[in-house]
Amino acid sequence: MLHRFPVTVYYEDTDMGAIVYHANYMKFVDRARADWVRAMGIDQNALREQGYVFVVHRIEADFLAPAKLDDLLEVQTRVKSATRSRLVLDQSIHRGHTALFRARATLALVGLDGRPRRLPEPLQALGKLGALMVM
Amino acid sequence: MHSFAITVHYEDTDMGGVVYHANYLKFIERARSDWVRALGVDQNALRDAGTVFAVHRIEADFLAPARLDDRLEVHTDPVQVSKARIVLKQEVWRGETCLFRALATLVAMSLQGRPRRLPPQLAQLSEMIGGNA
Repeated sequence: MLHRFPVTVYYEDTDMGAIVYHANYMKFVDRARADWVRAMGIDQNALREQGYVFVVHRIEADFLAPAKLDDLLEVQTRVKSATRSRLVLDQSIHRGHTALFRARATLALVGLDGRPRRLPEPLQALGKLGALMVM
Repeated sequence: MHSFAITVHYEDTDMGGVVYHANYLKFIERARSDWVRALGVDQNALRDAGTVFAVHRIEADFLAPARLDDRLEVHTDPVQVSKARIVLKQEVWRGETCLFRALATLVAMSLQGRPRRLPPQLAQLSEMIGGNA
């Protein structure tokens, strides 16, 4: 299963190297994750009202090639693995057939007190299919 | 070790009530800029000469959350240096607690994206730390 999310590069995304500022790729992949969980029926506002929020636990990111102003990018998100409490996603950003950025992000759900909680059911269920989905 | 102070502002937080994860990357980037400035590297002049720094890889662990008004300190240490790239260990601390830890690999490149040698102020650090990336 592959989730695709389009991003257009605006002036605000760039830095004085005339390319996308590196930390902004983290925002792009975060937007894609938010879109992906929404599509799965998870309402992050409602989740927070119940006292839960998603947190990023670890990210390994490779910056392969720069993106520039007006580039039309696509964020691709795949599930690497899922357990009751932890979700590992492989995310990449492409411009056409060129991969510009690649990251593996580990996510968890915590209470507002910072304690780990079980992931919402639709995400846990991904773990059972995980082996099928990992390319 | 280079130390750089950060205070957490409202704009740094997200709806989880903590610092938004991507903002740690901005914090450690500020620390790197401060560090290279202290080493005598003028990034504006460098760019005028056609060279900019680029992040090549980051491995980041988010250990504990920072919150509004926290006084943080970013610690920066070079761990590997070659002519073309430098690897830095960077950590964000609140008092005695480490909140964030990253290994950042940086390169220099031309404005066209071609690899360039690192400025000598950085390349010569290899003699100090004995690294060979």
